[in-house]
Amino acid sequence: MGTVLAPPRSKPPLQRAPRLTRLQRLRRRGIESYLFTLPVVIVFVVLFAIPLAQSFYYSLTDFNGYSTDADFVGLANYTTIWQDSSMLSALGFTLVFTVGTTAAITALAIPLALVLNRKFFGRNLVRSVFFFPSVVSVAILGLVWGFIFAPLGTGVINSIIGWFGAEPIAWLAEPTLAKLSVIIVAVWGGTGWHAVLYLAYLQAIPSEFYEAAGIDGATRWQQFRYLTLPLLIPAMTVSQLLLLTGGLKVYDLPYTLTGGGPGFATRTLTQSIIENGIAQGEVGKASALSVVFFVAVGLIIVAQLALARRLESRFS
Amino acid sequence: MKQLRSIVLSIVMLTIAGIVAIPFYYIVVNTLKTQPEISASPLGLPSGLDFSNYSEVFATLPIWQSFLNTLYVGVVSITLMLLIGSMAAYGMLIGQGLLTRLIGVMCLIAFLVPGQTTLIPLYRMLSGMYLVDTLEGLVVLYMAGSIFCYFLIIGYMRTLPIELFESARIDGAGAFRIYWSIVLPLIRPILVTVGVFQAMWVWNDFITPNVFINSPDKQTLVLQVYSAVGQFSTDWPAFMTLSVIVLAPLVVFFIAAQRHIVSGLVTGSVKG
Amino acid sequence: MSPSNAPRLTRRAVGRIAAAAAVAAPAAGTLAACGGGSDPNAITFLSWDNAEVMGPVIAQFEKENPDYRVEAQYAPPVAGYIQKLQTQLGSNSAPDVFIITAENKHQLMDGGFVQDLSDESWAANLNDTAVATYTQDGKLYGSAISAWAGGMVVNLDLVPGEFPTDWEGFIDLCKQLKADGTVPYMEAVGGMTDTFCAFLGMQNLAYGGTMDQQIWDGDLTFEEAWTPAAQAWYRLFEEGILDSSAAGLTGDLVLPEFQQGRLAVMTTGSWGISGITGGAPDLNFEFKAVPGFEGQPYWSGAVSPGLALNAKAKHPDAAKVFLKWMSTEPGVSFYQEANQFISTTKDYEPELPEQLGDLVAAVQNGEYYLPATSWIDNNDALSTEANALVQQLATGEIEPADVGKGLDAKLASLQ
Repeated sequence: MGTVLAPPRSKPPLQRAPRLTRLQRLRRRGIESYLFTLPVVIVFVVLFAIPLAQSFYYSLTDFNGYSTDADFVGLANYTTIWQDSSMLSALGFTLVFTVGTTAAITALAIPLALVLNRKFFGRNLVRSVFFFPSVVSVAILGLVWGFIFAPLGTGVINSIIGWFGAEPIAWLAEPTLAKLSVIIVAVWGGTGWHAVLYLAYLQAIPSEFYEAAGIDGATRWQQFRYLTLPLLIPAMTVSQLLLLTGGLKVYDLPYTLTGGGPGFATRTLTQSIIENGIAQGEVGKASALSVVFFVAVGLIIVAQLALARRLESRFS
Repeated sequence: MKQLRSIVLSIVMLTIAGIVAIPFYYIVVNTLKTQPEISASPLGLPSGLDFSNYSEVFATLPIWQSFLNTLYVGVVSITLMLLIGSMAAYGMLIGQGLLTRLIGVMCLIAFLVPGQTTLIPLYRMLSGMYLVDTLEGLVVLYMAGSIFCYFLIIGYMRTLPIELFESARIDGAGAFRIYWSIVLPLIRPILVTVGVFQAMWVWNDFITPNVFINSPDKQTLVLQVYSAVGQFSTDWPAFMTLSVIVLAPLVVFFIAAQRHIVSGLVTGSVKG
Repeated sequence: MSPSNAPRLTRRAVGRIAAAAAVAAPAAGTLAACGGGSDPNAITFLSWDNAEVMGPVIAQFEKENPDYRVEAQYAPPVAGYIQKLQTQLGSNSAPDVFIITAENKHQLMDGGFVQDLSDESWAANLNDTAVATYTQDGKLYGSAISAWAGGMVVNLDLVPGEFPTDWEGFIDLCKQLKADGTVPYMEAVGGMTDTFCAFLGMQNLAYGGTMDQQIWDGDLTFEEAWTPAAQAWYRLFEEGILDSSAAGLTGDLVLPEFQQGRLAVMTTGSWGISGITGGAPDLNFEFKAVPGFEGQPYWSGAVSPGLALNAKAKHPDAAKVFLKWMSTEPGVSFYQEANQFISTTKDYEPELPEQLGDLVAAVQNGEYYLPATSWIDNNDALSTEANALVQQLATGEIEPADVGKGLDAKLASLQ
């Protein structure tokens, strides 16, 4: 890590010259910037790089999570993971979930953030209520939404549609509806959280900018297009990065709501990884799965970031 | 006209909020009912307020001890991760070159690691440092969250007008002074927001304390919630009551913090 | 609210962190000292039951054995527990005594993590089925003192007459109840149900009790063994007693229906009895065996998790004192009072609620079956598959024969 700290060439001129040239100031800032990033580098090495390397090593062994020694098996784990027939449907649902939640939450959170940024009676209360769904532990949501989606006539949604004379719907028992239900709960839980994120980014405009724009006779749309949107695009980059990674890694919400069912309809990739690693004691195989998964998620994210950068340069 | 629009907006938003809040209504209302009442009508109002669920939970479980443990872990780890994350973001903003870009990629990689898979290596590392079954060990693990802080903060910093930093640079202030007295106050909205997000995560996290904490006197609040979970069935009244107890401080914290999220840039700080 | 507030706040926090760090160092030191194991009479124990259940039991043990001390850790079953134990074993820091159960028994026994207990004096006190569950190659690796069974729970006010012992009789009863305007039967098909497992138990009996061994030996297929059971269970759907919405039900949804007298028959395990009486203290109900689709009525069920002794236990002698106490009187009765299981040890006859009916005798005679605990290996992967297949059968996506076919394919891919 010492090498990260200081390119040694830049030090002597720094001490000699009383006035720094622009380049030298830049260089000095370079050193300082590494000092500022040093803690995060340590965090990365200790909590991510080393464990990840170990994980990668496990993926080449038959480690079962219990024994303290394991045998090297080469790439065998990487070939066996593709033989699991349920993996394909897990991949399918994981993608549907990720795209569905990312699109829906983005579409709902931005208008919500814009509204919550305006003054109206009860704003603080509304803001809190929207935020709280993300605070509750997922385990309890499984129970509560279970009652809401109950296929019985006494289920919350079914009672409501019953007032309009409709037959009860088996929300979690029909594959397509079950997928939809899981996405609905995820959107319910995530929208407020992301709205708060957008809200924070909206604060980067000093309010006098708006005032000035108002005096200059800018229309509402112009204000949105030239003041608000350039701030929303970077927020969107961050928010969608979180939604995509979170969506691809999702496990607990579908699991508590449907147990991955009916059949394999709402099974996710992470559920496969966890079941392999913990319940079946096949840490080697689970590690191989997560390495593949990690690479795949990485590719998707790089694509998303490239797209986001183009958007940012277009709108700022 | 303007007032009318505000009233309409209030009514619409309060209605939507009411719908969004239905699951909370369900949770809270059922902690105030007796078992037979719950089974008779899961969604109905209680016939009278019954606080026996709460008194029982407080009598049988070390709630206060766990609360203090969680508070300690939360305050220390969130302060540290905000510091590390914002320092990294500032460093990346002022730094240039390949190495900086490398660190950026590194943070992205860290973001993609599925946490479940690194559990065993982390456990071995922590037990080597004698940090298993300590609250400080949890703090160390939660430092992983500083990467998340970094992402949100650097995104926010990029939206700020660059002149805000420049003026101080021209004055010849050192990078650390600029960071401490200019940057930190400027990014307060995002610091508070990220702090709230991370507080929620640390407060609610089950996997880490479940694996790394052994002694009952070092348990965090969430572990108490899960004491209501059995092999075949869950004691839902106890589970919901404990959940409400765990959530109450977070609700208070959010309400206190949200003023700072949307207070906007204070005019005075823009002058530089 | 002024911007200068933020740095000041942070500065105070820094002071607190420094204090925390100062506290941390000595704390870690003391922990290392007691982890080293200076007290030979301290027993470390990772409990499956929560502190509310296990705390008083441990207190009683310490009261009766004042020289010994149990340092208990807790993790909620099942996944949370398995994960914690696995991590501890994988880093050589597992407690002296922990739980062996269906989900981890093969890894524990094959990996040599647990000690043979068959020579201990109290091993003879254990029920035969319990011994068989945790025995491998003649060695006993877990001391299980209880078991549970599951079957039908009948509202005796809605079904006053004799409860049928054959499956067609039960189907007729349901049709009649339905015609009278009562909801006859509900089953939460989150996967394999109590009924389905009991049917497989009947099949297992028909194959001389070695159905799974025969499948693993290649003498029998899942398709042959399971299809009659799947067909019998599917009659519920053919006759309109259940519909595909059963796949979206959970036990938590069915329970209030039963408690409120809106439902005549449901299924659950013996562990569910306090849940029923807790919400409906005056309900007139009784557990009944699942009616036989061929032959005798039968139960689903399994031996409870057993206590196991770490092969690398720091204080094995002290741990054995604890194991002995837990496996014999009076430990068994204390544990029995604290949880919902039915104790099966030979030196103690538990007092149990009368609503359990015939279930108690069935448990003590080992008349129950659960595929996941009976399979030879790959239990968890097969369970996941079987659960999904049974759900697909309930939603009409597949035919009864496809359940067994799917499992044959899964087993082949795993081996």
